[in-house]
Amino acid sequence: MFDFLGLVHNESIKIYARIRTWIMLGVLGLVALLMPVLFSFVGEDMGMWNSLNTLLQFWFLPTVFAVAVAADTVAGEFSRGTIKLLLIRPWSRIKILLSKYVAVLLFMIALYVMLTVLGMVMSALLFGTPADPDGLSGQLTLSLSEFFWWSLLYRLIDCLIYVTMAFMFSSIFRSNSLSVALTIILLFMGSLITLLVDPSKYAIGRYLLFANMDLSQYIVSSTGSYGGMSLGFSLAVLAVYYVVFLALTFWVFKKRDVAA
Amino acid sequence: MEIISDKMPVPGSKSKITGEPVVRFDNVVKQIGRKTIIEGLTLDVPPGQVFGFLGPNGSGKTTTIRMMTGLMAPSSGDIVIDGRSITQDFEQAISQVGAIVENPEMYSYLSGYRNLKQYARMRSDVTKERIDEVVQFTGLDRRIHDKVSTYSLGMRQRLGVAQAILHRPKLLILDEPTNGLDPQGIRELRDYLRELTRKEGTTVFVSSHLLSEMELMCDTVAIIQAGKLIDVRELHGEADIHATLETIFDVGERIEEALTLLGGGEIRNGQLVVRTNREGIAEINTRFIQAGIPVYGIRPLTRTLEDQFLEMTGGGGIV
Repeated sequence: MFDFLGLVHNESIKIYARIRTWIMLGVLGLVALLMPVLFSFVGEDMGMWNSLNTLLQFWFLPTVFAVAVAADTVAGEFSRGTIKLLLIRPWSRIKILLSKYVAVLLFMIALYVMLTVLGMVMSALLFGTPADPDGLSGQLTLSLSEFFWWSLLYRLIDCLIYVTMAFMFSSIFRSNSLSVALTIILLFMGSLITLLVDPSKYAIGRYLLFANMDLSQYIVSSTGSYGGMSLGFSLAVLAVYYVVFLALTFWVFKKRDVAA
Repeated sequence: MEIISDKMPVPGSKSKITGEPVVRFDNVVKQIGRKTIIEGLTLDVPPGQVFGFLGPNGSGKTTTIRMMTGLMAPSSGDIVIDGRSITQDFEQAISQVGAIVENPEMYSYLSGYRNLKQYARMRSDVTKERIDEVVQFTGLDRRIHDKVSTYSLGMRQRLGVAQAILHRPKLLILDEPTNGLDPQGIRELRDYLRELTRKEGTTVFVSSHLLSEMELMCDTVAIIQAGKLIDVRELHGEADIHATLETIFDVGERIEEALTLLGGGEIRNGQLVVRTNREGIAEINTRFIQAGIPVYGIRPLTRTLEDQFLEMTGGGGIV
């Protein structure tokens, strides 16, 4: 186990030794620090939780950044040719790939922690910490703070799926740009696909990946945006996709002849 | 030229092998799509040697090395390294191997030292002292903390060697190791490989298409063409005084007369060639002189490995 952490350490070095990573972290840090300032100029005193919930508009950023890193982690080794020196160590391919996946997930979590902590600190400084969380928000039965934490969790799950998808593309196509492009296209096209195969009209649409992404739909309605679904159903569908993605990723990586 | 089938034992080499072969190719076949890249390679690599793997471009050298290092799976057959199958028991088999496959590609955004640390972290037996020792040895000490992106090709090659020997492997596999090295570097590498085999008993498996280099570097050379092993021969064999050699006798104009007198030998390219041993040469010389045939010169008909190689592979040989 200790040795495996060495592999994760190696992979993390490959992520953090690159300027690209620090540009991403810098952009994210600026968003977390400056957006609450902007909110305080534009609106009146919106309160800390409202500020954080508005900041949720920018949660696509950690997803895009984590996807970029996930897409590079396998494909980059192939395009640089370093995969050959990596795979001739006394480690099975499965363990090497797993260490990469773990390092990518740790990076994803780091992005989330950074955005949350900086956003909270900044919002609290500007708007003060409400002793009593703000009252209910509109028709929702959740307080603003509860709404924020649940949204955060759901976005983390979304992000996990996208990152795993990018990781899969990276392993299958061994092309960094193709993996990023495919994932980002799917990220923005997902809603279009669910529009075509509308789950509220066709039952099969309910099993589409994108109908089940964005679990925050269940904050508004327990049957989801399309009706006839539930949080448990969506979690089960996502879990199946997740397992299939990972199985495919590892299987392809294990079987592949390396001729880079 | 005696062509040795890959199924037959290799004359001359078996007798000197002591101990189990470090690498054993057992009827290895590799097909990619419909194309057969390697056709039934059976070969033993004896321990403690610099073993050359020679062949023209496209003959399957790199494919063979990729299979030895587990980067590719053989379509059939098996490769056994130090008694362990690379396909069945990969982690154990590969732990005895250090290799450079094609070019030594490194993480260019890391320093040379941090690259070596990457590989050191993947094993339990590489200490910091060992890294320093290897850095010193490969002559990279002044630049080791610079980013690899600033390295010349020769320096990258040295770093490649450094990562390959870091864990003192029993088998060192080098794919075209002299690419990008200057003459000084090639000489150093050659001396180093000799030292490794002598002092640490490492077996070195080197591929190359450069014959002259192989002659200087290797104890044994296997020659491969179009995915088939066509010959295995020992170099640097000690000159055997009983060996029969083809010898050229320069007798000027009286070549036919000399041939009749001997009742043997042949005329090749206008020269009298006799196959005989050391004693025989002296005897023939005496007979010519007694018959009044002047002998202007006697020299062994040695052919360089290059001549032999070209002859075997039919000159061109890119398939």
